Amino acid sequence: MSETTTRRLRKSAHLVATGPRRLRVGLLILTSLLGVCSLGPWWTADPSAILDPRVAALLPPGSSRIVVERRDGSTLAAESVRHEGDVVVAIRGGVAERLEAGEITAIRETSYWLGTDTLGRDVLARLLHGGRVSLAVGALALFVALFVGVAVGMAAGLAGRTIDGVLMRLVDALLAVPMLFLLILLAALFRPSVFTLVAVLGFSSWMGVARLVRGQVLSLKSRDFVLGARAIGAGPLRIAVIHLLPNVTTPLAQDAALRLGDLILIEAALSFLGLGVQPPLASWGGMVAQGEELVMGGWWVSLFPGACIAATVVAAALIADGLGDLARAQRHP
Amino acid sequence: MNPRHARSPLVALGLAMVASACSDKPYPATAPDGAEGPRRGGQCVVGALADVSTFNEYQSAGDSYELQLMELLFPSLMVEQPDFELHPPSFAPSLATSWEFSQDNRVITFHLRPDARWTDGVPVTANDVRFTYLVQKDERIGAPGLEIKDYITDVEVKDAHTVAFHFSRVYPYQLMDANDGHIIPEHAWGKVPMDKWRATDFEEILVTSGPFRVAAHNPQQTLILERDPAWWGAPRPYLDRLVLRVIPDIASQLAQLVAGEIHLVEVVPPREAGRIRDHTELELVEYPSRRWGFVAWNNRRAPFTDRRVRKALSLAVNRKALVDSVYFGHARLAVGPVLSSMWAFNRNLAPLPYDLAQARALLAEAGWRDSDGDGILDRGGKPFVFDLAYPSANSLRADMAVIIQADLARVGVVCRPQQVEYAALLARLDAGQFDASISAWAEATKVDLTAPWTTPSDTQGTSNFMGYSNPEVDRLIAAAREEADYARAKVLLDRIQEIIVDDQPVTFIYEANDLVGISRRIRGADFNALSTFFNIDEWYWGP
Repeated sequence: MSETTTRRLRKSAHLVATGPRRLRVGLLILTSLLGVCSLGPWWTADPSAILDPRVAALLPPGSSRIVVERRDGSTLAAESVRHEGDVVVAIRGGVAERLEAGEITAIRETSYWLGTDTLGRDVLARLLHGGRVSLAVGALALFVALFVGVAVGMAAGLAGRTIDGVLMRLVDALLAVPMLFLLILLAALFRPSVFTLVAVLGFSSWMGVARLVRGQVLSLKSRDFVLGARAIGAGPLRIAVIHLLPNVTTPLAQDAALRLGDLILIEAALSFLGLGVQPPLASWGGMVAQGEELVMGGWWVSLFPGACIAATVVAAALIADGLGDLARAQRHP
Repeated sequence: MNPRHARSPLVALGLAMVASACSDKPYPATAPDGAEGPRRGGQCVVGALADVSTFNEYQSAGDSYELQLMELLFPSLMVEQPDFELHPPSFAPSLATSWEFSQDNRVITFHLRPDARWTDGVPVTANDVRFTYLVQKDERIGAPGLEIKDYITDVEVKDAHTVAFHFSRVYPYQLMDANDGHIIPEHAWGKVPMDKWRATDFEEILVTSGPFRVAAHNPQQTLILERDPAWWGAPRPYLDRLVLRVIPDIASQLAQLVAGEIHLVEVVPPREAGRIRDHTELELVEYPSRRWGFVAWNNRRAPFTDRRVRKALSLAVNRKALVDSVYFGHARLAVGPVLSSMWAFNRNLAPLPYDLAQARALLAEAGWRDSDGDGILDRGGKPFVFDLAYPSANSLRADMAVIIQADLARVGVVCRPQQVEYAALLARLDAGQFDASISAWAEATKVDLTAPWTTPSDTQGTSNFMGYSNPEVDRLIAAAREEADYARAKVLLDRIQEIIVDDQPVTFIYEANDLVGISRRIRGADFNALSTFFNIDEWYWGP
């Protein structure tokens, strides 16, 4: 790491630490969600494991059950278990069942801090794994959108004339297509998977980025430092990457934060419509959809992922606002 | 049940769910002379998921809720009885007071009751019966179930109240086919040219003859039916009014049922059954429905062409646990192609067991082994991976798909659940572009295995999208259909069931129960798989 980079990083850290409170709160929420979702699954149970779809289904938060593992690989959940010689008596759903002790390989207790879903899967495990999926899909789609958007915006802004006209009309045309409708169409054409989801979300949300970058480039490209660079013979690629890109980062970061929130919401909507990630993989949107019919008898299935989606979107909005405040503060110290 | 919607694939539980409610506020029930027994009066508010789209059943797309309503408004020759457990259904008199077969059994003559009147005072006559037949057969109208009348060559008007049905052949379901569909008014609707039927609003020229008549209709809100005092069944019905209120969401219907706003929900989701049963003001009525579900394997596509593979997959799915968890005990394990509540069911058959060892052995026999040690079976270098399609927006089937996936993983088979939009799914199934699908059918009371289980041909209507084909089964089904004596047909049907269960063209999963939530204040209601309103004329308000 070069000395200038280290200094820059230190400066950014200082800015965040002393900067607008909104930025700090937003970053705190987002990083803790990211941290919990990326590290948490190491400690939680298998999010797809169906231990007992009948006895362990829809347990409220804070419940626990005894899990009996059998030789043939199947598992049973029970409220309580007691040994009677060669027989293990398991109370399952209020009914006593006698199991051969020889058939049993393990008996353990499992706690469900956030309850279970209709198939008896651990909501906490699904929430954390689903968070990984939702956040990763949002972040990757954002990366795709930024990459395409910046490239198109730079090209249009720098080249001007015909190329600018063609590219911007393309952007206008794509923006005119209703987003959700387009996504539903694409999701129906391609087999839904995490990869297609990222591609579809990314390639359908770069247009705003392109417009933003083009506007910035147009106002920057007649500034003295760009003219100077051009005068000493810098090519368009060098001008774009070395001279223009650093100057569009602030508005871009602000836009990206808002866009991340949008993307996570769209992913949730697609999963809700059954076009997002496919079962048994969890995602926050898919979990909300699963719990939709259970609002009366299983609020925990949809409440927690719903709250996570809301927290992410709010955090992203706070970061975007905070970055705006920061930029203003730097301009008028 | 009307054979017209035989084996209609079901989108979701409650494709046409109706909830009924009774509220006595504006119409207090009064006891006749303070005596015990049925009391007259009161109104029943029926909630519906969707509004009725037409009052002409031959214009309807076959929505079962609409067809149930027709029972309240239009007469039929006879009433099919819910005795299909014991023998082919029998019939009770209705518009026809009696009927007799000719010597050669090719003609059935019905004698109509002379006192039946349409709501405008015109008598219901043999002409109406003939007119109905002409409408049913008219290809310009294209009513669903056209083929039901295939063997009826003519309906002859003998006199105003005598009508004869002529058949081209003798077969066990002649009465059922003659009776199918309600009688419609010729004097009112005969004026509309048949090529204009599809575009006509029959509500403007509505004339009915049933226990109830239409009093008012606010589209998308309510349909108010009132007791028809001129109906021949007088003094019944006891209820004064039946109000159908459109409540498009089952959760709202249940909330209103629990709150006492609504007093009857026709299809209670199994998950909610406990809540209804434990409520002191409500009663949960449960009986075997005619809906059953299965995993359809694409019998034309490898590896599902191999009977051993299909059977192994069936053995590897813990269907009992699946049914218990998804239906909360409100369904039975399906055994074979005939519902276990039918007379024709082969009672010697039992559901396939859950047997992982046998499943593994059968798969190995078919050449599927885990040769590279990755935990997934393979053959010729290809892993055993398949897509399991199911309609999106159906949470029960989504749950089933995930359970099946987990079960099959235990024998090293990778099942990828794939939710597909309903119309797109049907198109894919028809085109044979699928590996496997979770499907469901609603079965008619007529036992005819031709459409679903014989080799599909281009000339005949088929519902065998699985592509199942067994020449022996084809032959036996043809013989059973021709057999006029049901005891002899039963022998053939038993054999057919054995072969189909052995072939496992599909994995038979569940036979669902119908769950009706009803207020304890409504008495006399007798629900059965034929109709929720089967004896609507006997319902009354309890004290």
